[in-house]
Parts: sequence; structure tokens; C-alpha cells
Amino acid sequence: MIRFLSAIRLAAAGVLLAGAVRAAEISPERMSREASNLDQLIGTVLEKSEKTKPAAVDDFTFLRRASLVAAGRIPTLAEIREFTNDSAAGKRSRLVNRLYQSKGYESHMNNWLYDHLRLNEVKLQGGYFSSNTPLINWARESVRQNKSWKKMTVELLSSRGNGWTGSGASHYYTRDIGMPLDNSANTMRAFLGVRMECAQCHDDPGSSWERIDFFNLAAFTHGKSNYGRLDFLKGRGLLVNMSAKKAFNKPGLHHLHFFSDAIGQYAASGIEPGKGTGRIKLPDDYQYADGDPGEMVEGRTPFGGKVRLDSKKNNQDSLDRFAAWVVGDENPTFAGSIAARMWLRVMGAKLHKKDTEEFLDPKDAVTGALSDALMKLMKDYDFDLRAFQQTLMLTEAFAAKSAPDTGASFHGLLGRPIERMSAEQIWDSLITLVLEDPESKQRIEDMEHLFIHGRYIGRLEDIIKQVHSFKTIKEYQQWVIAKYKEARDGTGPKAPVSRPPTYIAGHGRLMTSAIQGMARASELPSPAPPNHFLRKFGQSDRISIDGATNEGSLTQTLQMLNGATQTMVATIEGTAIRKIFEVPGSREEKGVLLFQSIMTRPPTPQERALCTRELVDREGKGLANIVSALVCTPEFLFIY
Amino acid sequence: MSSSFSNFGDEFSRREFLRDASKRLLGVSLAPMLGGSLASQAFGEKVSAKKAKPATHVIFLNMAGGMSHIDTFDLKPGEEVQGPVKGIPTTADGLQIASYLPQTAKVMKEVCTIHSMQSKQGDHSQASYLLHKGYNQLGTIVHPAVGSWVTRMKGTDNDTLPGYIAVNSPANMIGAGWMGAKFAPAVVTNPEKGLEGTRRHPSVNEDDFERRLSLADAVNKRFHRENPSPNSKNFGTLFDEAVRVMKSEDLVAFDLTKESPTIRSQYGRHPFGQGCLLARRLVEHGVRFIEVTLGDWDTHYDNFTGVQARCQLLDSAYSSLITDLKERGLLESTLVVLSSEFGRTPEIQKQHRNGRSHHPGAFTSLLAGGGVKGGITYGKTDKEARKVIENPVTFHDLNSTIAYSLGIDHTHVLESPSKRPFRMAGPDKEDAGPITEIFV
Repeated sequence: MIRFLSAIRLAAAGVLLAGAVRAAEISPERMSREASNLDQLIGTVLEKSEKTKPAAVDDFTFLRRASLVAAGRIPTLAEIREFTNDSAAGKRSRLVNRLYQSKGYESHMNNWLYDHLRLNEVKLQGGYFSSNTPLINWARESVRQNKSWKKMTVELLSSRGNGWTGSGASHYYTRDIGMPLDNSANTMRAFLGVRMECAQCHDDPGSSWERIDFFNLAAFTHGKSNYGRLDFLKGRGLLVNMSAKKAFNKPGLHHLHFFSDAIGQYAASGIEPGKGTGRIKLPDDYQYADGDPGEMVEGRTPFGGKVRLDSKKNNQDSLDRFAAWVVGDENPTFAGSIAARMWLRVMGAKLHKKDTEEFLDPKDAVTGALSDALMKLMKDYDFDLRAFQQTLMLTEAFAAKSAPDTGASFHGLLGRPIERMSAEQIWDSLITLVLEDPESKQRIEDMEHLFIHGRYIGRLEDIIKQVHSFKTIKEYQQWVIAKYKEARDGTGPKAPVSRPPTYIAGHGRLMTSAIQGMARASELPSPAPPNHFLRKFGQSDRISIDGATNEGSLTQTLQMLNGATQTMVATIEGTAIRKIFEVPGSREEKGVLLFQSIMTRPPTPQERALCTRELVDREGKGLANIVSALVCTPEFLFIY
Repeated sequence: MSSSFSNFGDEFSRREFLRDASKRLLGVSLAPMLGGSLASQAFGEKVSAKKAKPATHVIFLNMAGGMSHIDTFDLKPGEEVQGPVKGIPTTADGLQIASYLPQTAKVMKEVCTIHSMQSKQGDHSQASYLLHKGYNQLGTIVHPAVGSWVTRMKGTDNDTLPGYIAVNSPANMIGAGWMGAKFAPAVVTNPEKGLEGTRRHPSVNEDDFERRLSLADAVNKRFHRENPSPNSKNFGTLFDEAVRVMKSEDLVAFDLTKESPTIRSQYGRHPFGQGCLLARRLVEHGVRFIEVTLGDWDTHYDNFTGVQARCQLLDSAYSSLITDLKERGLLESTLVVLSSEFGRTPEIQKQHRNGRSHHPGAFTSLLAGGGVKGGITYGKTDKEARKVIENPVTFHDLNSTIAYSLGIDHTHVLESPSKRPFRMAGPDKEDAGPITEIFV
């Protein structure tokens, strides 16, 4: 690992920081050219490995696969029509371009960020809940702007200030309150693909990281996620004390404790953390000769460009220098790790080979040249993840017939492996059968307005500032009781916006209405509540990086047969697929449309006959039977 | 056990039904999956039973987040690292545990306390993966959980219920990995609701349900022919299993309202308490392996408040489970394992409002029943509970011990579809084995 990293000699170069300007929009024509170049390199890899390029898939398979991979859901009937009606050359490129410019892409990319950055709406920490809503909103806005990965990284790692009133990126540190070392280990993994967590406790013979390397690294951000601030204790301690007061148990005030706690979640989380000191004490159990327990060590980078801070004093610029090192040109794994992750996302299999490292290896005997080209492309695109993914989707390799499994797919070079959709892809595909415009239901900007249990409380920032201004428990108590009464009696301020059905007010664990929320997964609480469809299908719990799984289970098939599909799709009125029956046409024609809206491809003559028979024999029940049968097939549930 | 076994007629027609259902749903014959006398074909591994009377069931209590050993079962009275936690005597000779666990103290005569667990994984996901799967997490393959191993190696006693059930456990830790979806657990997220989706939706009659299976079958045949894939085929088998479970007379096992309010309260009216009660009912109905998770042990911040709160939930549930199994004569045949992915540091971090960090170097696991001697301790830590100084036990050893209790050969090698060899004892190089001396 270290050998590889140090072997790469890169010219020292100035590092673009948070203010970096995005490169000009990358044209579809350029992406097509770059995709052709990649295909040539892929062809060389296959030739060297004596493997034969698979055939290309048909248009319907391509449409379905591309929609699921780029936009996270099956295409709507209207989208299928648009694609099939396009008979001009280059229709696949136009489709890919449309998909990556769509709101569907944003939704799907949000899910990736939620998983990758462990973005949980509400987090239990030390017996208290804290809210990370500002960080989630920051992530969503970053995707909406198609902010470069480099800029996002710098904003997160050098973030300062109150996440509620300043940049929500600040919550990247405060979400890990009390566990700054884990935060450092996760930072290394999320942005550089390097697994250093073992060295947190001991020298790691598996990767050659030493414990001192880890502490030198953790020093950069030390002091960031340790609250230790009066504000925090005030925010939480105040409320805990409050709950013990008899005032809360008086008639008419029996929900006050809950109310107060809900406000406390906002008030106490995301409070401006420390600025970072750039130095850290070695732990009491430090066991090696290169340091003593309790010794102060400075921030020092373990590879890439050399950055060394001062162990004798606090380093005010430690966060900036750390962020600059992570994204710096001298750091080979920054481009390598994000390129590796985007390759996996689009091509379905890993291009990198080692288990303990998550970045591309340009020295690899077989795939080195391709890896090198991908890293270069990532940099040339100025870390524009949308353009990078779009380019990969334009390759012939993406359009190849699928491989039976990951092994057979040969790093995605012999076709995408057939795999179960992610929890979000299944949910969002079902939503596509319900909503004509699946992206029409958007989460609202929580930061502006605070609702508790459906009652409007006020502008969030005002509320938080107010709570922070109290000097005594009594002051807070008087205020919160008055606020509670206002909400209870409906005498408070009038809500400037209506509360949409999926709205969760940063309080997803208690707002059960969100479970029924008919909106894409990215618009629901992150993560969804434990008993939600999404969790049963393997959505990440947002505790560890990339914590999702697409393994199957009995619980899932029971859900599909008897649970969610019935309540979501098959039995309710007004769904998108029921609209098929509102226009004139024969039962056979309607059966075909129904089939196609679920499976994307048209039915075979036999399938067409079966669907028609179902609609004729069972009349009103026929639709539910067809939908329920088809969504319970591996063909629907898998990406192939 | 399954009442359908006593009625040959029902059993026959059910099999006929399932054979048909499987053909319809999958376009393939799944007869070997249908259990009973056919189970040996599906679960055809050779088991070398070393223990005279092997246990038949496992209840695995997963303390997720890193349970502080020093504040629960490995106290160090008088040491500065102990903090405010006080010990109380237990029914196990010479063993004191935290005063947060008064009911548990009464059942420790049934429990073997292993004080000498150790691991090298201090990161939640990797440590929990190792605890659950016995291998380090790799990017190239997903390993099966211990529950999948046990279900595969021991087969099932009740072929109408899933052999492996997980209550509130993290989804990415409990899967069957390369063994395939048929050995994955059925997941219960709310013990009060049991296994959801086991009844036909009220709007669907039996005829319509059948029509759906037929239509799905027609579509599946084409798909499997044109897109052969082990994963999708395995997933398809889960629809067959779902249909089988829907017909089970043993679904009543999931109905906690069949228990008296008194016993429900004794276990604790919280998800973990009711999960433990559900586990006991599932054991009675022949389910092989049940995992129940109690989370939020990650007490970096305000450790003592956090541990006390967790212990309140653990105490009622664990003590009731052990007592209940004992009184019903099930403890001998049921191994109850309690473990966390690691312990917590002896250092108390004042800057984190008296928090404790991750500590894989030494921690505690409990074993009860399944032939394990009660009222004993195994292994020791130093005076600060920092290091193991006697009889170190790894997760590989713990899994081997589970295997031993069940009469499974922990060294038996199974090959993944990619022809890689795996064992319940973990990698060869770990040289792990069961702790035989703790058994009666």
C-alpha cells in the first residue's frame, strides 16, 4: 500500500480549494469520444486476457438498465414511449443524456451520498437524539448543483461554524460527536478509499499502517467533534432537567416533554464545534516505541504530499491544510477512489482488486492502463460525477449482455452482473407504478420551517437562536410552555407553507406518517424507520459507509406477495398504472400497456394472452393480479 | 413441533402443492428444498458430532455497538477505571456483576461468563461482521452468518417455518452471503407484529393468489432461460418458501398475545424483551437459530447513563429468558449466546462526559444452556480489564464452541460457488477450536 503510494511521483501543484470554479459543462459529444477511448482500452484488456466481448443488449433491456442505473427506477410508460418513438441514430446517447439531466438522477445520487457519507436524519448518541437535517440538505443541494466531488470534499472537511445558521456541511463533524477517531477513519475510507481503522488500536500488519500514522492523521481534525461547549450542555441538560420538573405533568401539558425534546434535537445538534487544533495526545494505552502515552503529536500526512503541523501549539489552519491534502494532486487515491466507486456504480462490479483498498490501481498488470485513464478522466472532468457516470454509460461495455454473477462479469468488462436492485431501486420502481411523475413529491426544506406533530412552530433558525439565548432553565421553561400551548391551541403563527404528506420534520423516528409516504426513497427519512419496506430490503442504517445490502430474504418475498405491493400498488385507486384503464382501448391493448409499464419490454404472445385472459376472466381483479404477479418476478426485481 | 408432521394426508397435499407452486414460480423443480425426509439432500453436509447430547437450538443475543464489559460482567472494584459502577453478588460463586443487572445476578448460576474474549477489530462494521460471520470483511465475497451455517449444517426441525430468524438485527450482518438466499434469515422488525406478510391480503382470494403464481411462472421461465444467474434463481426460491410459510400451522409461534400479560411484562414490554420472548416461542416451534439484537451500546458519550439504560432492557429480558427456558426444560437443548462486537476502554473520557471508546483487546461474552456448565467463569483480564491474561478466546473459538454444542464439526469445509473453502471455525490459520472444558 505505502509502496504503491510512494512509488507514484506526481509533480507538486497548487491545490484548488473551496472556491474552485467548476470546469465548463462537458458536452455530450466529448463524453461520447471519451467513452470510445475507454472502450478501446477495455478491448485491449479483454484481448490480453483472451476473453471475448459479449454481444450488445436490445433497446428495451438497455432502456431499463440505463434508467435503473442512472435514475434509480424503471422508466415510466411515457418514457418508454419517448424512447421507442425515437427512430433516429444515436437514440441511446440521447436517452443517457436525458437520464443524467433528470430529477431521477438527483434522487438516485442522493441515496448514494446518504449511504456513502452515513447521512442519518436523527442519531442516537449518548442517550440523546441529534438531528443531521442540515447536512442532508447540504448534500441534496450539492447534487442539485452537480457540485464537483472535490468541492464537496473540501466543504465537508474544512467546515466550520453552526450547521443550522451556516453551511450544513458542519454536521459532518458534529454527527460523530464523541467519536473523533472513528470520524477520521471514516474520512480516510470515504474520500481516499484507504482503510486505516485497524491502526486506530494497533499497527496493522495487513496494510503496513502503524498506529502512529493513524494518530498523526487524526490530529488534523482533532478538536472538531468534541463539543465540550456550554451550548451543548445547555441545549441538552436544560431539557433533561425540564423533563423531571413537575410542571410537565400538569393536566393539558402531558405532551410537553415530547414537544420540548423535539425542539431540543434541533437546538443541541450542529452547534458550532471546536475549530480543530491540528494536534492530538497519544492514548494512555499507546504501546509502541515511536511515541509515549499522553505525548502530543502533530498532524502529519502518511502519504501523498507532505504536510506537517506543529505539536507545540494549536494550528488554526489545520482543517484547510487537511482538506487541501486530501484533494491535492499529489494524493493519488482521491481520484482513484471516487473513480473506483463510480465505476462500481455504473458497471456493477469492482475494477479494483484488493479487498482492503477501495481505489483504482494504475500499476495493475491487467487493468492498469484503464484505471490510469479513468483517474485522468476524473481529473479532466474536474470531478464532475454526473459527467463521469454518463461517460461510462456511453461505453459499449455498459451496453453488453449481462453476466450471470460478479465473477463472470470480470470487473464489469464482460457485462454487468445480474444483481438484485438496491432497496431504493425496488421502492422507487414501485413508486413509478403509483405516481405518473415519480419525482413530483419532494422533501421540503426543513431548515426553514419547524413543524412538530403537524403543528407549525416557527422559523427553525429563529427557534434555535431563541433557545440558545436562554441563560436559565426557568427562562427556557417559560418559553417552551408558551410555545407548546400555542401549538396545542392553534394560536401560534400561521404556517407559511403547507406540510406535504412525506414531511418528517427531522423527526423521522416518530412521524409514522412518513412510513406511508408515497415518494421516492430519497424524499423519506434517512434511513427509513426500521420496519419500513426499504429497511427490509437492505437499506443502509447509515452507521457504516456503504452499509446497504441487496441480499434476499424471506421477509422480502412475503412483503412482495402480501404486503407492500398490495397496499402501494395493486389495490389503491388513482395510481399511475390504473390510468391505463381510463383511455379507450381493448383489454388486450391495456394488458400490453400494463405489462410494459412494469417490465419495460413488450410481452411475448403467450404473456400477452395470459394478461388478456386475466383482464377478461377477473375483470376488476385482473389488474391487481397482473401487477402483483409481475412485481414478484426476478425479472422485475433484478437488474439484468 | 410442526403439527403437520402428525398428519400424513395434510403433509402429502402440502408437498404436492409446494412442488407445483415451486414449478410455477420458478420454472424449476425445488423438490430437494422441501424438507422432511428430503432435507438430507438439501442439507447434505456430513456432520461429525463430537458431543454426546448435542444442543438443537441457538438463541444469539447481539449487543450491538460495543457493550462495556467493565461496567457489566467484568467489574474491577476499587480500580480507578471502574468509575461509579457498583457490583452485586450473583448466584455464580465469586462472580459480581453490575448492580444495574439485579435479575440477571439471580440466573448467573446457569451461565458461563467468558471474560477473555479478544479481537483485533475496533471498527463497528468490521468487528460486527467478524462476530456474525467468523471471517474478516472482504470486498470479493460476502460470508454467511453463523445462523446460516447452523441452519445449513443442522437442517431444520420444522420445514414450514424459516430455520433462521433475526429480530431487529443489522441487515448487512445477518445475511447468508455465498450460501445464497435460502439460508438467509427471515427478519422480524417488530416482535409484536411477528413475521409480516404471512397472510393473503384481504382483497385476494385463494383463486386469485393461484392465478398470480401461474402468471409469474410463465414470465420466470423465459427470464431464467435467457438470463441464467445463481442470484436471481436463489431469490426465486424465496417466493417458494414464502408460499410454504403462509401455509404453516406454526405461524402461531409469532403471536405473542398467546402469552400471559405477566410473562410479557417479566421479559419487558420493549422490543428486546418481546424479541427474547419470541425467541423462546420459536425454539418451541422448532426454529433452529434466532438472533435478537439490543443496540445502542456505543457509549462514547455519557457511558454510565447509556450503560445503565441498556442494562435495564437487558436485565428483564435475559433473566426471564434463561429462567423460562430452564423451567420449560428447554435450556439443555438451547444454547443461549450473548456477545458484543467488542468491549470498551478502561479509560473514562471526561471530555466526552465520561464516555468510553471501543476496546477489542478484552471483553465479555456469556454462554448458557446447550450443555454448558452454569455458574462458572472462563478466562481472565488484568486488573483494569484491559488485557486478557488467561485463556484468550477469539470469535473463531466462540463459533467453534457454538458448533461443538450443536454437534457440528467446526472444521468441516464448505466450498462457495466460486470454489473457495470456508469453515464455521473461520480461516485455517486462526487454528480455532471449541472450549470443551466449559461443557458438562
